[in-house]
Amino acid sequence: MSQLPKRIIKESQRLISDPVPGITAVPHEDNLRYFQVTIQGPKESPYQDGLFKLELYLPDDYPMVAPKVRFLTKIYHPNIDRLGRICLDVLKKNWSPALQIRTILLSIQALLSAPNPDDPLSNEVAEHWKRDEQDAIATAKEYTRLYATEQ
Amino acid sequence: MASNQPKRPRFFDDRLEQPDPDEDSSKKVKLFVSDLASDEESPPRKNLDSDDAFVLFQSEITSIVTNISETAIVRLYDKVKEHTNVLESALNLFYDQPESFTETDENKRKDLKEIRTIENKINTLANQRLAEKQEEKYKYIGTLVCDGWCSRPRVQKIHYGSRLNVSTPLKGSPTKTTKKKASPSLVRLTIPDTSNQNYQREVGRLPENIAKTINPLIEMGIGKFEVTVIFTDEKTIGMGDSFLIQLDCFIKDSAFTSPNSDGYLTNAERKDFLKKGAKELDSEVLMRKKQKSLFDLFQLLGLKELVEHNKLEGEGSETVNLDSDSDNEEKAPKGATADHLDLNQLNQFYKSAQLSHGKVHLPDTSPSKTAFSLDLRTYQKQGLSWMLRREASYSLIGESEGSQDERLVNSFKEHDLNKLHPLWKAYKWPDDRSWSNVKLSQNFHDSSFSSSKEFYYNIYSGQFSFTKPLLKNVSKGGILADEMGLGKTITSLSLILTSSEDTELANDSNIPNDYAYKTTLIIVPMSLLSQWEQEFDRCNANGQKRCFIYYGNETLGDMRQLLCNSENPPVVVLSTYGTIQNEWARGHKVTDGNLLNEGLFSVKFFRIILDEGHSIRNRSTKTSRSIFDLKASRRWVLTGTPIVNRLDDLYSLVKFLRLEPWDNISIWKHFITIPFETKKNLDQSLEVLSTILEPIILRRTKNQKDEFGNPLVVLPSKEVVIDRLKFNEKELTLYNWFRYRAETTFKESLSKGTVLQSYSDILTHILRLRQICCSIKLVGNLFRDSLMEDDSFTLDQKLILTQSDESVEVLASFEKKMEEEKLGPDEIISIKEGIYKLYSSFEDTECAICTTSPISIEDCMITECKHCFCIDCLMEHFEFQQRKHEDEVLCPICRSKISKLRLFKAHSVEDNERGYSVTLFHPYGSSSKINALLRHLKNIHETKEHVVVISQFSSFLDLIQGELSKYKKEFKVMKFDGQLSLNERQVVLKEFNDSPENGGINVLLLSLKAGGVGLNLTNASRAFMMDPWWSPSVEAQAIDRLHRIGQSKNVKVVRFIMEGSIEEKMLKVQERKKQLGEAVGDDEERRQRRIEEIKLLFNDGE
Repeated sequence: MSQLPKRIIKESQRLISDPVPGITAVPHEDNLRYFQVTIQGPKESPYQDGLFKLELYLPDDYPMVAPKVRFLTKIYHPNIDRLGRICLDVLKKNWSPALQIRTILLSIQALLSAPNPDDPLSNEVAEHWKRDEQDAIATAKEYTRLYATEQ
Repeated sequence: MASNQPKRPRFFDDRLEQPDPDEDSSKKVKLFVSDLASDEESPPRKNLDSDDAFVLFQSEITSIVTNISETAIVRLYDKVKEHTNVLESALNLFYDQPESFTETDENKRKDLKEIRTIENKINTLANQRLAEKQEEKYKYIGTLVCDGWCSRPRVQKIHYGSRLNVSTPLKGSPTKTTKKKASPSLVRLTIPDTSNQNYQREVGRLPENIAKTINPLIEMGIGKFEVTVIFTDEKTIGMGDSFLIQLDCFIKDSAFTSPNSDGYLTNAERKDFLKKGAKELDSEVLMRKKQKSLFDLFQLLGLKELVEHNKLEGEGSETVNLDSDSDNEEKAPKGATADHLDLNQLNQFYKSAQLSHGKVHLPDTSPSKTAFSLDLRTYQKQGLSWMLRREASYSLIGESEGSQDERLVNSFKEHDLNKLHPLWKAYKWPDDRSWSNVKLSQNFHDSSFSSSKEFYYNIYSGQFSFTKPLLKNVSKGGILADEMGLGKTITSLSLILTSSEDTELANDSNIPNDYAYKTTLIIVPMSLLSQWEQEFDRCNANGQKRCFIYYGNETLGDMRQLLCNSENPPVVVLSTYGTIQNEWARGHKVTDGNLLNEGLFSVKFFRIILDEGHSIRNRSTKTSRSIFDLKASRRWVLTGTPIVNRLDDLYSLVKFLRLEPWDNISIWKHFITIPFETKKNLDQSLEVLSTILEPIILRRTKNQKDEFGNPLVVLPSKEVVIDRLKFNEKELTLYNWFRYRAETTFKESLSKGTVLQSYSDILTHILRLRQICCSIKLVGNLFRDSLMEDDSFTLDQKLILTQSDESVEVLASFEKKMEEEKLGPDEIISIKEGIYKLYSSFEDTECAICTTSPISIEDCMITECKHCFCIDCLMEHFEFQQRKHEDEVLCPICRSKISKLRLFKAHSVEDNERGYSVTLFHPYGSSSKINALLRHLKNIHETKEHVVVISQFSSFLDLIQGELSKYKKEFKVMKFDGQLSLNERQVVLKEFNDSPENGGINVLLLSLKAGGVGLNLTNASRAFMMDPWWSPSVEAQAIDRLHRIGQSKNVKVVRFIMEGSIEEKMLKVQERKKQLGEAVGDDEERRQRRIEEIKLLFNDGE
């Protein structure tokens, strides 16, 4: 494995020494490019009180290309599909090498606060959201209670 | 006739008085008959009761038949003597068949012939017996047991122990037609006829392989062979059956001659030989036949050469530690072609050059401190001992602080003075196990023949000798072939300073007036002249001794005055190959072949040393011939590569050393070149070669271990890494265009089958591609002038290389796009001002891409939107975005559109308060390689290591020099290439070895070809190979300029390779060469392989 770039080391250190509120990201012992991430559901969102697990991987060309991020915890969200894949512009064509792990995770947290059913990844959920937002939010809450909270 | 029969009574007219036409023959017959009759030892053929009865019969019959001849009488008597009435029966017989007894001419002649033949046979037989008894002596050399083949059916059994005679078909024997020569591979086995002891009846023949060998020996009278039957089947044997025989072999003493005539060609013969060229002389054919037969016989008999054992050398040979790959005992592949050696063979050869016991136990000689001021390494001290021994300066060997191991030195002396002539081999007489000795105890093979236990055999002429033929006129000197970097220079200087004059002559008042007996001439390539001078000054502890440089304008001085007739002549005269050749050529012109009375050829030197001696490997060049003509008592060759390509490379060295007898080209060819070229005895010729060279060559390698198992030289580590670089867009555009052209040309010629004809054109295309890999500035008009002066290209090739108009066209669309993107002058000013306003310094900046903070000024790139990045990070960003085929590249921070043509580069300056200034960035200004080099150099700047930058393109080095000279504070740049004069080289090297005062680093730009030999650049520990060369060893040699003795730091080498370009494929070709070995193949084969390589270059990959 190639030597870890200075930037990744620096980012990892800062994520631990100066963590973002509501977000943890810990590099894996065996592979320092692989992070175990948790995001708390934002207040006043259907995901409030939920703790969502994600995985994040920095490809070899990082930071020239975006990190790969995926929800591990089941979540009911119009921009996140059943496999946990996230539809977020900064992870795709709007990626810039000036963005970092920290900023990406904040963007994901923001996405939970503001679902965007007009740019859906999971059509079914997005349809539900547009048809009956209240009911969809209830389902999301139910999902959060079922899968994202420890009982 | 009358005198023979004086008492015979005469009844009729005496007709005997009439002249008898056959008188002579009659006499002979008479003589013959009477001889036989009087021979007391053998019973008379005619069984007469008494002479009287015959005489009576004779008188009676002649009284009746008057014209009857004596022979007829004898014959008649023979037939009728048993009869009761002898005379009557005789008369009846005579008149019944008068023709049988009448003297017709025909009958007479027949008789005569028969008689003469018998007579001759008897004479020869008698002579042979006589000779065997009195003169011929034999010595047993061995026994063979083999089959004899029965060639005639035979009724009688051949018994165990029967002795068979051995003979070869008689020359010109009547049974053979004269046209057909007797088969050389026929040896008859005969047995004396039972009824007629004198008649040898053929029983069988020897098997062909043995017959072929011994037939010439019998015919030349060198060997004697005894055959005894040791087994046959009980039944009678028929044609084609075999019987077992014992063949005892003996050598006649006539084969032994005095060793003084050692079988070389006489001068006349030699001249003849030269005239005839390759044709062999008759005497040589015979000699070769003899030598071959004897050699084969020795092989058949398993006679082993007696290896001389020197007690001292014999012991502890197991402790010899060769270099680490000596376990690799792979046999040289038989596929080696022509006279080129492949790498395995070369290794084998070098291994044998090292594998000498005498060299392992060399004592250390420490030169006296008053003469030599440096400390030698152990192996160098041993090298000095070896050199002294080769010069027979025994009293100096092993001397350290006045003590000397005399036993050791005496053994050297004894061994050296008692050396067997190399063309002779020693054999031990075997115990006589011949049949006649063992079974019959008939030791007529005289043991007094020779009392010595050994005999000597000349492998060239086939001569034998009892006394040991000693090597006379031992040449003093040899080949010091230590691997590069082991200090051949120092070792030889220690020899010069330890033994600087001919002491044998020092007290002699009759020193020839042209003998420079106190001076050593050292001949070196021009590039090394100053290095030698410096080394001499460094080593020399005695101010009286001086070194004289003889070069350039001062040539053709009065050398006799300077060297022979002055009080204190220089100890060393240092000169170059070119100088020698010039003087020689001048001498030939002026004096028509006679050498001048002035200059180097007018004196005989005490010693000559050739540095980089492989310079004379081609014996027909003027340089070599001039070197051969120099006179000296002692001769040395220093070279790290005694064989460059072919075995004959060594001949030149041997000739220079005057190593007898091998300096004779016909002997050399006979033993070395021809066997090797004909591939018959590949291994054998290598073996002979190493026997020749073993005593005169000393080679140590860096990896070789000393007696304690430590490597001779411990060098710091060496690390070579490849830095793969990417073309920028402009380079890529141009590269692809040229690649397309090159590929088209190649494919065309491939389909036409004219690859060989257009081979050089294709190479030129490839050269062009390689140049673009370095810098696109190497293309086009810029270098047209310098290119045109370069004679190594043909005009056509030059045209290909200078097709700049086309390449400009190719770049036109590219340039057009650039024009559109470029900033206007006003924009530039306003952006610059904006930047100066925003950044008072760069101390607070962080590169958003790599998070480096702060960004160093030299690395800092500022976008149109005034964001800072490291230059490399930003370039990588551009590349990634362009690879994704994004039309627009956005600033990573603010996402506004950015362009490579609209960037600003910061530079630190001292003359304004900000400490920096910005200029517009030229993205395609300097080549990717130069940029990469700069990047590396900036990192090195912290460690203060000196740097060598190597390229094969001198023009590329010029470009690099131009670029680097912008950083005067950081780098001191020097250039070393083939165009420098000797003085300039000296200046450059001296400058490079001094550290610059301002604390910057030295950068030496070295042209690959100029840097091949001898240079010592250990002051540097970092090297950059700007471009790959076809042969990996050439690159390695250049790197070894740094990585050699004297290097104290770890050496790091970076090789720049353009990704996806021809350079990457060249790396593959290099790999291939490493595997195949480089030295194999004749010119044609090499070309063919080059074509294969070109295919590899074009077809592989994309």
